[in-house]
Amino acid sequence: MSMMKKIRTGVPGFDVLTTGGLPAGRSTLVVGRSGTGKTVLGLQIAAHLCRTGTRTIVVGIEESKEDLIATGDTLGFNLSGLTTQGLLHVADMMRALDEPTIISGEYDVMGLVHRLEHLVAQTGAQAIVLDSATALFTPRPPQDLLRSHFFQLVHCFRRLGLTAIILAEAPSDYAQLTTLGVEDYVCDMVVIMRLNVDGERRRRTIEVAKYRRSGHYKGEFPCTITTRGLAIFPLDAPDRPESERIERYSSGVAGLDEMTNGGFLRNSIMLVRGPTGSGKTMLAGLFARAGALRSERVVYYGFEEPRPTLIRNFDQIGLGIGELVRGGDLKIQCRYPEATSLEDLLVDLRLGLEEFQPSLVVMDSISSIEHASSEKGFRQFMIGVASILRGHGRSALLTQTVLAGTAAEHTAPYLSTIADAIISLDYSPAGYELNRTMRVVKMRGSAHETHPYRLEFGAGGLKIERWSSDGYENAVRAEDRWKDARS
Amino acid sequence: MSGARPSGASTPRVELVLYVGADSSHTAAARRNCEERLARFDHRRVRFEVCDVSQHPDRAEDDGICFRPVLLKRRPLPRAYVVGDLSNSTALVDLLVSCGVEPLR
Repeated sequence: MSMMKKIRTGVPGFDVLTTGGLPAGRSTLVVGRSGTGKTVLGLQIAAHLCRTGTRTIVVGIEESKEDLIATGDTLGFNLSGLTTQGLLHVADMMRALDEPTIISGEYDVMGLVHRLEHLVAQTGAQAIVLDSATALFTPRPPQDLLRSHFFQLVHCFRRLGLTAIILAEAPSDYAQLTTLGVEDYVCDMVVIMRLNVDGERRRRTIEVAKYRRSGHYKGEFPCTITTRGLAIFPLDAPDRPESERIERYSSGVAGLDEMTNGGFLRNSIMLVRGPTGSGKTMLAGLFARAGALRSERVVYYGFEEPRPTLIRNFDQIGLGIGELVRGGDLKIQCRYPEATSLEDLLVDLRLGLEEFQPSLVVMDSISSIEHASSEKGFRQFMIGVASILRGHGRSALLTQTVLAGTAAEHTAPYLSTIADAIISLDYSPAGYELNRTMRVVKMRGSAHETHPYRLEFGAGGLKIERWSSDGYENAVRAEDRWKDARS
Repeated sequence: MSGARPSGASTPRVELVLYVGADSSHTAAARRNCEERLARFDHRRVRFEVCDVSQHPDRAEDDGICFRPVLLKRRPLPRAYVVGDLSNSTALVDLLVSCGVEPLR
């Protein structure tokens, strides 16, 4: 790609999607239906530009200056402070509703152009946010005139060397791009914001539809608007500093360390799959405990039971989790995925991880999230989770509930891509006994046992023992005999 | 109502500003169209001025002018904007009549 200069926006994820930010000195069109977050994005970028030394003008046509500043302040952009410091200039161009505008004959948009020239000369601005082109060109002139007006405006921005963000209303999410239908031709970048209904949930997405002379991520990416503004989740991981040395740590279970040739690898994501009652939560608890006992910071996200119940259950089997929580190295957070949107949950995770800075993360179980969302929503969530985890070189253990007898079978492709290691827990009735097994299905970057290990529950958690080939065959024969006897 | 029409000094004067640009092809047409139509009115009751936005961007700012030409009725309130060169239009006449200023016979 060419030597195009870009300006970073500071909007989480946006600079990843656009491989560096906005085209400097060029115009970017942001389109979306009403309520998709165009103004939030515009104000958030404006605030970041001001903070990083690019004076910016926000032209408000849909909302008054006071309303725009209040919106920004609510989201923590501190627009009022930036205005006081002279870095931000909000130009109130809202038309009074009681002042009619009649269109009669030919005209051009040079009135605004001269005003902007004047404003730029006064303020020294290098960037501009126009909110919005749709409101500016209302009532709407004929198509050819509209095209020439829009061109005049973009040409003016270009002449003044302004990095511009032009917001425009889209009539629908997917059909015609903009209400005016002409804006995208003259802008170097086009960003589409959407608010989709996905089952019972609303899902925000953002897409870079075009970026002249630059590569960009293709397709829709999940995003959310929180009390801190817009956050986008690029579905793949930012580069993490690769460690030359392979570092291992104990899984918290001696037998599992043996199976994995000396323990789990740092900076990897473990997926533990198994049916209900197979010991996933217990394994997760042992993993968290071992980390906290090594004085690592560990965060445990429980999606299946309330926090007191989870801690009590762990303490019942003697893990002493309550004490580790009180010690401060282990943090247990329980959430109900049904009660929040997946995007908000992602933001919650991201902020939580930023604040607590754990080296180990447990999520038990991702199936609770899977059941509370659409397939597409869950896939995007998981890819977002992986991105958050990998971006900081964290190690994680995720659990997933599957049907008995299927734990070692294939996983959804996106899940097996995310997981650096897959461990399956399973059981099968063999008459009076329940045969419990554990296998390491895959482990990237490490030798590992592929044989099944025998799992027993007992005081202190899990006991894992190597199973001889004969021993395993005997156990399977016992299962078969039991099944035959019942059929 | 007596049907008495307000007249003379008792009626408010209408204030019009035509925002134009020297480099615009629409300027001459807009100016000519305004002047032709205003010729039919009592000039004491209508104050008309022409303002070049490139010379007076601050005035355009104060009056919220984005396009040109724009004919702005500043007084009486509320303001009204006629955007365009006013060709083939009764907009200006309608505006004055709505303010109680009738054409001369």
